[in-house]
Amino acid sequence: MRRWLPLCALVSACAPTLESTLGDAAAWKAPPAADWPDDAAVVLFREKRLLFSQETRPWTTQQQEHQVVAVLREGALSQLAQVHMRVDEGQELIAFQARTIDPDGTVVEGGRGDLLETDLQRDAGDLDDPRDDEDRQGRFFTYYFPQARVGSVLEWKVTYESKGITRSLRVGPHSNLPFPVMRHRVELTGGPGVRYEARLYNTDAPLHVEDDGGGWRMVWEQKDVPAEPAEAWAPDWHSWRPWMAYRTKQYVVGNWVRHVARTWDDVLRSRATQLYLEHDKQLEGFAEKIDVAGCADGDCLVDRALAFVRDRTEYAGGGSAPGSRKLTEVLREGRATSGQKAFLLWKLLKDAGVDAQFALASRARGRRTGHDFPLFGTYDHTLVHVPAQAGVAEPLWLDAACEHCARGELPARTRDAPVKVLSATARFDQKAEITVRADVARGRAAVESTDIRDIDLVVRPDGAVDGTWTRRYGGSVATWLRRKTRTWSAGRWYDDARDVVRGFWPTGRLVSEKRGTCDKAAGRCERAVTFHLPDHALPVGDTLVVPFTVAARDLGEWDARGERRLEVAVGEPETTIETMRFEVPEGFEVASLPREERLESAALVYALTARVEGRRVEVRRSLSLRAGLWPASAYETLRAPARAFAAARQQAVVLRRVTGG
Amino acid sequence: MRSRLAALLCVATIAGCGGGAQVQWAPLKLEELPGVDAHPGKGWVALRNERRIAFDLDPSTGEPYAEVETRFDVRVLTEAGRKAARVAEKHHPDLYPVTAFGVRLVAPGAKAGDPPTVRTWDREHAADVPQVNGSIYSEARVLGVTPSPLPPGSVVERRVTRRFADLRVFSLVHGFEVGGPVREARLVVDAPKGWRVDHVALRGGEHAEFAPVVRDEGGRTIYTWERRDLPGTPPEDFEPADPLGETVWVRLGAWRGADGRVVENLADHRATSAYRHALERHAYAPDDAIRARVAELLAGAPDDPRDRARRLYDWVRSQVRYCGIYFGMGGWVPHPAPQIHAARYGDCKDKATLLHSMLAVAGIPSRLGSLYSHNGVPTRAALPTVAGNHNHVILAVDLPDGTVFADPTDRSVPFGRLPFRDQGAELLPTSDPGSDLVRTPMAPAEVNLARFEADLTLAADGTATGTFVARFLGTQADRARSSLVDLAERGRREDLAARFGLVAGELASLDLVEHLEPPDADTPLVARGRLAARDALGVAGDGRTLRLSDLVTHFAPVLRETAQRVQPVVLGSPRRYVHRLRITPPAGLAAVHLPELVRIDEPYGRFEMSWTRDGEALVVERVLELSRTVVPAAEFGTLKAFADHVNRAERRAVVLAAGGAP
Repeated sequence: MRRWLPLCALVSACAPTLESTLGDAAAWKAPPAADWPDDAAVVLFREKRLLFSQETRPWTTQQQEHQVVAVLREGALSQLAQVHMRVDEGQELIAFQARTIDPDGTVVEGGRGDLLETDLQRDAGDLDDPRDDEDRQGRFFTYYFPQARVGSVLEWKVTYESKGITRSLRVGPHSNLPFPVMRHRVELTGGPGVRYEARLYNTDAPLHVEDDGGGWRMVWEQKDVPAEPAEAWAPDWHSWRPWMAYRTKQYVVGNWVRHVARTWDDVLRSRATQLYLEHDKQLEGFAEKIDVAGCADGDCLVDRALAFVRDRTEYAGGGSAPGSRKLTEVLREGRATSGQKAFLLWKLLKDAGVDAQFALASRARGRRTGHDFPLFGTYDHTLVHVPAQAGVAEPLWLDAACEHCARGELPARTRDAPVKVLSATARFDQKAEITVRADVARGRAAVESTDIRDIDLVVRPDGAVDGTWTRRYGGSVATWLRRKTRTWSAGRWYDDARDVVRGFWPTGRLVSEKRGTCDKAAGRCERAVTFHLPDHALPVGDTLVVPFTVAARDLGEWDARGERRLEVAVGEPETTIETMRFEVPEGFEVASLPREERLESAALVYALTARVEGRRVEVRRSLSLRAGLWPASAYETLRAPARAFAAARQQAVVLRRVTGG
Repeated sequence: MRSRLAALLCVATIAGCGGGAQVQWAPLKLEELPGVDAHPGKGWVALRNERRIAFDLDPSTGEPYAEVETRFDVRVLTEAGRKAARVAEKHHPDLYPVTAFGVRLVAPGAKAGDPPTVRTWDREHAADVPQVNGSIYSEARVLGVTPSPLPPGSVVERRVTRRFADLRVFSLVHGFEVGGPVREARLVVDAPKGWRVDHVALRGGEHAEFAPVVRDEGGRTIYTWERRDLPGTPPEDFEPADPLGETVWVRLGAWRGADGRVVENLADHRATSAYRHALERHAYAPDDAIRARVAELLAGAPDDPRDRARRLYDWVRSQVRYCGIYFGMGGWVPHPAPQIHAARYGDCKDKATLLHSMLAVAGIPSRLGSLYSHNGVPTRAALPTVAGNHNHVILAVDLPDGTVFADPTDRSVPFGRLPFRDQGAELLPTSDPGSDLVRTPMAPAEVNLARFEADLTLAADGTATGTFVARFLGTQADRARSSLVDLAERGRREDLAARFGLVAGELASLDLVEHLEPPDADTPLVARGRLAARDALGVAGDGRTLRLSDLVTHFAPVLRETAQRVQPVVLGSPRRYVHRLRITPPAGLAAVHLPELVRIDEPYGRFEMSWTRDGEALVVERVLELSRTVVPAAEFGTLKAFADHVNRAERRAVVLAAGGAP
């Protein structure tokens, strides 16, 4: 183990470094697969180590990753038999060791010379991604484990070095591999010039901090972490994964103290500077203004600016920063991130004389770092705040990424969300004066998400039906559909309509379809499909059974199997209603209707109704989803209405042939 | 190995190093070009899809080469068509480097009257990234440009020239159809007069008539193939995975060398076989470790060549993982067998080479062979060249009682049978002095069986619980095995529930999976356990309805109606499904009505479904046999009628009522 020996401070040749060799191979052995019936592999050990050192100026960071994994089933080999390592510009891969430990104990070793090296693999560009597409420089390394098989233990350790000090870190035992972790270790070591803070979340394990030869060393060990569950309605990972937040508050370079993440001002300084001061490139050639004619007050100007952003750009997800793309290009492409939308909105408001500020929010609600723990990457969504001013009676929070939100409305993701309001001015010495203020985004709820499906049938005595399926979407469901289908061709709509009919029954025939139309501002979409089902109703003796199977089969992600592990989190309410209607055909009368049902849990309300008015029959089922957070143990009770909702499609209306005169 | 599509793209597109010549751009007037009105419902139109191939002699080497220029101009008609404007051109710095590269975007102005935006990209300004297509490492790269801005009405033109130096390895191909509509498609081949240019056209995977217009000009002969106003191929159900549109394959058949003598290219497929054999034979030689491995695997084995070959095959199949690493000619030439044995990974030709080497140690002769591993449509070889025709390598094992084709790449196919993708394919074994093309056999439906049996008890709330047993043979066993061998317990239950066709519910337990490793071609994979279904009963007043389709999904193809089918219908491996369910109704309910027996027997397959009583229980048996792999587009209507007939029969229900009726 290295130490901060005083002598080393004078001799650069013995600069502190992370041990890159592997230990005793005999220490690792794959456990019996029978002990892990649902896992294809087990991570025996995963470690991440960081070493900040300043033997010579400037500071360097060594980062080491070490993983030992036992292969229990062949499926794991597709993920584990190769290791990919990305080395970004300014970073260097300084050591690599790997070995395959066979079940019989034989070891095949590999090293730096066995790596396949290429430049970074990057897609030639995604036209659908308006986010910045600047070239990434770097190298890409791949190691392929020889002789890997079920029962093998695969071990690798890689060490990188880069200039500077890691600013902040979110780290935990989970990776993108769906395997349990028996032991996870994080170690950070720094010199005396580094001031830092770290916190652990969702774990009882301790964080050990000790002096280390004049510097400090921090160790967190976590044991027996099960494989990550893939569960619908899961809360944001910050609230359940064990993880550590680390930030470098400041470090010393010579006589200078560099502030890194001491305060939110530090963390958000570059964002604020870019948004308010260093945006000449983004504004190059931009001369658009909103039409202010007829606007009597600030609210009107805000409405005009919101409409401009909504009508001229489509939200494309991601990106709280305005990025390097010019606004003229954003408008030309017609697609924008939340950062680009907010930047455009702010610019339009500013040019129209409306005072506005940027406010940063987090898309994932309930992140477990609060105002007292400044961490890079916490805020990933940009709002615009319009303080009360002449013509604006109430302060406004504008989420331009919510395209069906009117002035004063916010979507569930940002409504009542804690935000950081930024402001920045250029000082006389050209440096930025930054202020960061904590606040809460307030607003009315946007129009509720609804999914209304009406199925109007004409029932023939032989069981055939002709029908029209009309689907109306509202709120964020409508926005989702509009975005999904905005580039659909007529042929794509036709294909989708055929799929709707095929979902009723494979012999169904599409008669005609009305492709979806959406009102973007109102958050509404509607489409219709006309169809013929040759065998829908079932003639039995003198009865005709008309099933409700034209209703959808899906269970809305409430169909999970096995034991629930995570809390159940519903962020936004939503209502689904399906109604089947038909006239009782000539010569028949209603013999029976589905029994009315209602079932309610804390998260869901299900209802089935059936009625006859004159000769018109109507069967309706509905499912309403409530926002909230519930314990995993409540899952079975919570989802019971969803299961009843699914079972309702097996209900039927029974018609009886009228006999005699 | 690379797929035929990738191979086609590789020669169809282009790229390479060296910067090369400047591309000259002709004036372009957007207002004169066809727009969305001319192509309603389409996202883009290819204004030009052209390839120009010029053969010449390299004075520095005395060898012929080909300069292949791609000219592809696309107009974006709607936002949906933007992706067609993305440029991604494959190249290889040694085998087919790019000698010229240029992309031009002409986009309409933001407002009417604004001048168009014109941008160009040359080699320096294109992304040049590694191309990894199913491999871990390859020297092939992709030159990419994402033109932007790209509003509807934009035109993106690309000019890419690549140089092919080894004309024994490569044939050059042009695909006239590119998915969307094409205004002009053209292939122009230009060679010195007196040189022979061989060519063949393929359509739908078969040889087709398509003659060029030939003219002599300035000491050169120019061949031109041309099509205009191609409508494009709409996406269709069960469409071929690989494009089957019209292609013309070209190679240099004979040329005059620097000394004036006529030099012939590979004469035929037999000559190609011998040429390939010469390229790869260095890799066959075993080392001591291979010899020791063979001795270990055959220790105590009977002196039966088939049994010994099977043991070696099983080891390579199961113990050598698939992994492609390509340096230089690595796309066609295998790594040495000892390297593969030591690493225990390799691609198809590596695995075949190792097995060939091990068989040779055991005294069993075999030949490597290349074929086109298909996605349901076996495709004919075009011209005799090393690259382009085939995308996969297997082994022909010459046993005393006949040749056995063996594909050790497939993890779960037993010795004695080929995976479906290799069946019915043209195989070119490599040998000295050469072999002819042979066709591998196609297995009939009855040997590709999935049989599901269950004994279930229905509850009044529609849940059905009980035991099941599933048996798989042939290609159905191959697929199930290759999936199950990868999975842990829960994954296996989910996989088998899907194979069973369970509509709603799950396999509650999986007690036994037998013969996951195939001992031979005739032993079925067997799985047993318990299942729990739900919502299996329809509620009709006081009565109940029971359909097989509420428990088990449809297995007949669901074909959506279409005005005019364009492509053949690809149904996959011939196969048979049998479901036999014994169902005990809920207490107090009995069947008052059973659907009649349905039997359908047509050229496309066979269907039989019966409901019978077994004491208080009901027995439903459904047999579906699909006997065709590919159905021509012209037969779509009759095929759909067959599928609809089957699916309609499944609609009928048992009616259950209190007390029931005899």
